[in-house]
Amino acid sequence: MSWHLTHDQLHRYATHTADDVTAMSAEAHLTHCTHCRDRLPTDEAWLEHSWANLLDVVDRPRPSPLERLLGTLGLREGTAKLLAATPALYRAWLVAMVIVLATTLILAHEIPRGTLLFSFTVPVIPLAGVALAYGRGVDPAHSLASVTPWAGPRLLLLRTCAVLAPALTLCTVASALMPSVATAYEAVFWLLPALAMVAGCLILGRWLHLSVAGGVIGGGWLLLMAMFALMEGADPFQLFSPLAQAGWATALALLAAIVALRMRTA
Amino acid sequence: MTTTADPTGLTGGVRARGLVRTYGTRRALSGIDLDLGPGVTGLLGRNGAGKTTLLRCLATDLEATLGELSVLGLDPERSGERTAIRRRLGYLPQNPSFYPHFTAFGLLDYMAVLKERGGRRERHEEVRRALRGVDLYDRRHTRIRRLSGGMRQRLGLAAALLGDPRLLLLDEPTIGLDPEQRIRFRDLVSELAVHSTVLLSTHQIEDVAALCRRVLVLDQGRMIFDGAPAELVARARGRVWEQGARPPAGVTSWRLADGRYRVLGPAESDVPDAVDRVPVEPSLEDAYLLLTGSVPR
Amino acid sequence: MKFLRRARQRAPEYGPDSPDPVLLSAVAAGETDALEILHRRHAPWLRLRLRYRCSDTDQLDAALQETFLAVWRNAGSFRPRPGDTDAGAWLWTIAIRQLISQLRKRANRWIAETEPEPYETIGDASAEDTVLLNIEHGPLGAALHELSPELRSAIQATVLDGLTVREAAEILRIPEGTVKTRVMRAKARLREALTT
Repeated sequence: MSWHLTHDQLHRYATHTADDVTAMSAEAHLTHCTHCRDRLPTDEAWLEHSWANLLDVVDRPRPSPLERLLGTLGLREGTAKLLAATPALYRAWLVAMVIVLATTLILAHEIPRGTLLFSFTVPVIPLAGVALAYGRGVDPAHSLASVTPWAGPRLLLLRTCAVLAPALTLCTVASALMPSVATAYEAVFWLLPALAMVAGCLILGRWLHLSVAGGVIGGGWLLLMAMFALMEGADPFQLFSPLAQAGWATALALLAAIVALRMRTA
Repeated sequence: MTTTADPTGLTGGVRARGLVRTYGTRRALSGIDLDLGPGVTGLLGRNGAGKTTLLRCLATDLEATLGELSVLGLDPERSGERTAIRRRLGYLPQNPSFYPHFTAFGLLDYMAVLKERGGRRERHEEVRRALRGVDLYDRRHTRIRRLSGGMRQRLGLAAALLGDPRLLLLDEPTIGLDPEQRIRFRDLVSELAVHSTVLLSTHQIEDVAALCRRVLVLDQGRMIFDGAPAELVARARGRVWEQGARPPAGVTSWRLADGRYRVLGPAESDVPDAVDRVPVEPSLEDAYLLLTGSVPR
Repeated sequence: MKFLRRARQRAPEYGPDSPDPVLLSAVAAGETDALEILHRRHAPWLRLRLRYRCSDTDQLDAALQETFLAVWRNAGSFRPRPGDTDAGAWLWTIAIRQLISQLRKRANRWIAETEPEPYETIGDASAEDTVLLNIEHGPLGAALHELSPELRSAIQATVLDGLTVREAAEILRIPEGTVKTRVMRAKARLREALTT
């Protein structure tokens, strides 16, 4: 193109001082002339800002469906991200939980003392999840994450929530499908011991690796059950009796207070 | 968000006195005294010498068994101050591993959340900057399982660089980098070291020679050298030779491309038949090998 | 917010000096860097031009942002005419329509929200319009000077900006019928001025 806008015309157009006809003339030309466009002044600060706004939209990674769900539940974006970012073992635990619950539920319906197996498996399911949720060895990115401000009790508690939410939901559903269960209370008979064990595990995690702590607590549970099974005149189901439940509640309140205190000071 | 005025006064580097760390009965660190300020310091030592343990202690990942430690002017044993340290800390662990199903961007974004880096928008901008810094921007939406070893190493480095760290602890950062990336890495680290304290644990003596004004050598949990690389080289002067004949067994030597042998050893020769033996200027590597006692003194 | 990154197709080689069509096909393949080059190249003049039609910089910047988002989404639909290495006209048609939809939102007038028609290169202007588009060369400038501001703005919206009558009516805030008659009158006047 041989014809170009004069410097003066461009200047008046850019500074908004051109009259209508000059402006129309300039625009008709600018639509097709890269040369004159490049001669227009550029507001670098604006350009950069505008690009940053644009990039923020076009280059935003897709939040996972879980993250979006947590977002709609009102969680902060960062927290949702932390909750949704879980090691592979966590997902393996989720699958294992479903399988275990289904199997023990079937057994409870099919074999005579089957409910015993179910009743004593359910309380350790959340515990197993927590034991696999945090720490060296179970979380591949732990070495990177462990020295961040979020690491420690705060992240651990967050991961615990990520375990408890699905575990408590599924365990309740499974319990409701038990042959003997009729009332809502009977569907959550395992809840207090399960939570007490999780809290105990979190506290032990101060000194032990979380998986080891989980193992210790789980072992204790098995031992307790065996004791009641073998003791003269005792029945393992006494561990879920109203009296025992009161004991569990006391233990849970105590342990939860310790966890809360540790969170405070951490 | 970057705070220019540091309310916590995190200006100091690292100060350690009599630092001890034991694993059961084994002493990984036995009595380390150390002062670190801005600049790059190299940390050399054989495998098992205690380099990683020292780095993890400084990174607040391990607690010292005994001794005094202050990081960025704060006490890592107090939880509040520990968190403050962690906000201004960049740590690249040895062989970092990630969530393989995450993308490079996703992982850094996750790390930036863990490092409490601002709102989503600022965080993403920072993540992009970090990715550009390690030349991974074009691969930002690639899943980590599809990244090569060198790329993962750079991703780890980018994670360490998030949050404008005042203290950067790098454990074997140049493993898996090609020569060009290594140059870029050196460039990046030197730039950061203007304002930050960088401690670089490595087996790559060339990196130390190129980057560090100061070098530390650890051996069996003890600091056996702390000084300028030139000083370390000076110690080796007169103890490095080249000769034509193959030295006897028990002498540290290796065959050079021209068929001669480079020999590290004492000045007074235990090698009587080395007639054409000539002294040569030691390299940092020679000096390091002599120091760590890979050579009979 | 809808997720906008697309699956990677093969992107052509490009650089800061690549012609628009190359950059657009790179954008179609998901290259944000190519979008950045286009943004740097076109955003400043588009903004200046939009400013003549809207004095509210917030709305203006919002319209520009939407323009480039539309480019990001629809880069693949750009069809250059043979030999054309510039997407200026195409970008303008997007930008002016985005501005109209911004104004529509702001005015909060109830208008059935229709998706803007697919963006097409202005290629089928009538012969008369082509003459009008050449105001920078001919004696047309003087003729335009003679027009009343109302007639000029009607010509500007329909011919220069390439808007439909309905869109012109919206941006000028006058009824569609008025746009039609003003354009007709303006064209008649211009024809008169140019032929005598």
